[in-house]
Amino acid sequence: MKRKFFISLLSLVLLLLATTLVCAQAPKEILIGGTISVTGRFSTIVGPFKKLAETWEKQVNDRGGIFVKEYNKKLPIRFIIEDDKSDQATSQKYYEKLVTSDKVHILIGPFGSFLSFAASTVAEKEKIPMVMVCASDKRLFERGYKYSVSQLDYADYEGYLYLEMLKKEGKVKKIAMFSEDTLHSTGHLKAAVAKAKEYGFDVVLNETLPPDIKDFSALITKIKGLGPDVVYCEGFPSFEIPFLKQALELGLRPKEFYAGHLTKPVIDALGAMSNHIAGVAYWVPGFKFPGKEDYLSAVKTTGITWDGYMESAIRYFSYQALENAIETAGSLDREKLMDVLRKQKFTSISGPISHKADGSGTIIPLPIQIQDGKFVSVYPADVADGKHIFPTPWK
Amino acid sequence: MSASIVVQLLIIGTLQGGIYALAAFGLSLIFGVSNVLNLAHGQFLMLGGLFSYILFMATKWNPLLLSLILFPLFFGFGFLFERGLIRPLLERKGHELVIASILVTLGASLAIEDIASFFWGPEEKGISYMMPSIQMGSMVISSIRLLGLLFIVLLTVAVHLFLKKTYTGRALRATTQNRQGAMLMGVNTFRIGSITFGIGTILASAAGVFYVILFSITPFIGIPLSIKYLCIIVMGGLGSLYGSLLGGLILGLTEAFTGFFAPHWSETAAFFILVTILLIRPKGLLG
Repeated sequence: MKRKFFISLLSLVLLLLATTLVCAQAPKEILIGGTISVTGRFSTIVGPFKKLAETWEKQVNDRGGIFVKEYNKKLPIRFIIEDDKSDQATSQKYYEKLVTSDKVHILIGPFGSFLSFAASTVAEKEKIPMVMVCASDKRLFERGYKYSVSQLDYADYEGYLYLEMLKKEGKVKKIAMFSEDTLHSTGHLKAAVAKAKEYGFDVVLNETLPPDIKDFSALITKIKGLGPDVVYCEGFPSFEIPFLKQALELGLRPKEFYAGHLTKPVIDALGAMSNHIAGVAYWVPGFKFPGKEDYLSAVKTTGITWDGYMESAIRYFSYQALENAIETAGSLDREKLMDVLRKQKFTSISGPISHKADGSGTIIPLPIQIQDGKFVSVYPADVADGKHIFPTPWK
Repeated sequence: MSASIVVQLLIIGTLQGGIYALAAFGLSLIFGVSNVLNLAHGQFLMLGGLFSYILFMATKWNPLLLSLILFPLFFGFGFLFERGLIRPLLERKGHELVIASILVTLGASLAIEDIASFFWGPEEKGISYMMPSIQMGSMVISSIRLLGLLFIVLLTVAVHLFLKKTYTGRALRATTQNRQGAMLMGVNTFRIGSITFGIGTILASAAGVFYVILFSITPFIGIPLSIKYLCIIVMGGLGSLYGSLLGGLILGLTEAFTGFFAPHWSETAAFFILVTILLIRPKGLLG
């Protein structure tokens, strides 16, 4: 009896000691590392997102942090963000530093497929989870990498719902399609052309152009000669805006213009002429998923608008994925986090998110259209805020 | 390819060449007088577009008229830029001056880029201003580009008259031909250098106004544009004003025709022509 009591007492002491030791090992904070293109060509798309990261950090820390079961307490988060200057080598160098010198617990990706291609090699080499952001080129997921995931489905699918909408409406025969020559856009174009042909559209133009091209007059002359119903332009705003301005100025009037990255600067640059241009978006105010108010509050605090920086929604739901992974794993152990990220299923501000075996996600953008200076989601009907106006009523 | 398309492409190329020449003109003028390769020239263009955008958003006035407000400001900016950053370099000789000017203006260019991005944001900016195009049968001529071309033609004539008929112009030409000789004749070559920089900056800002109307700008367009304009003036002949006009037209036409058949190769074709011209005439077409 006496022996039994002694063993129980000893076990209790050992347990308490172990718990204390574990608690003592709990880090002061969860360190999240990443780069953002504060300068360089991508800064036009994501430049202010360092502030967005800080705003989300504050939102989480105001709630007490993220609960980590392993330590039985909420831990505050802290971002370490570096400026990758929109450059692959710089981004890669900083990710090395974040892992080896700053000892971050988890990585958040840089902007887009191009930078993620280089940055994710660090995650793979160091075996540390990376939640990639705006990274959706199919080639990213064909490498068999195990330590990086994206919330987005393949870039190839970005235009699918738009083309599906056109097919259902049955008013389009000929499409002229072109893109800028970047990793993301060429993948998008290739798949969109194939889908358009599958739907029975006559693809009268299929071209890629240098991303820094500014003068589109010759291309516009060519398109005018082909007489398409829809002009499908896939590229970033620095590519799309000059094209659309010159097309409108030179009298190109198809039944509809499609622009792959339709944002508020397009409306600002084209004014009333931007009305009825179609595109796609990963988030629109009509979405009824949780977290909408927090997201809108975050962009407001950042000093931007959701439609001025549409990629902010993608970054925000990537943060949500990261938070969800830590909470679900209940640990900061890299393998456990990665395991959860791969199996993760949760509802983000843009709807349900899960990951396929290759690390790609399931979110695809929805067709939108500029109507009276505002972005209106037009398809599918269950989430649409308005009707697709087609053909464009040119004045 | 039908004749109307060929004519259309000729028009497009010529008009685009006019816009190129407008900016290259200033760069050529500055090099001709000061022997300075100003790599910040593209940033002056960007600033011209940016301030035009800011004024347009605030007033909604015609951006071409707003440029009249910008010109004196940019003259002052260019004048002070030369006094502050370039003049201390002018003591250096030959290639030392060229290298020093490249380094200083490249540094200034990066600084302008960061300052513009910090204060006015990095996002794309464009002016929603359009003029009705001129329709001639199946051909369409962009009114704004036509205006740009007219502007450059008038400017060429005005600069020609200025150089031939005024004292400052003659002093400027004398400085271009022989700096020390001009000094011995009583020309204040330092003052001429500052004035030239001011005029060159006005030309860059004027190109910037057309640029922001036709295309769009970000703080990061400057350096690639400087390189492009540098190619134009090298092709035309360093320091030759008419050469920069010719270089701009050749580039515009090359891009127009290549852009029609194989848009992906338009810039490669332009550089191929540059190299070919330099192989045949190392001093450029009118150098």
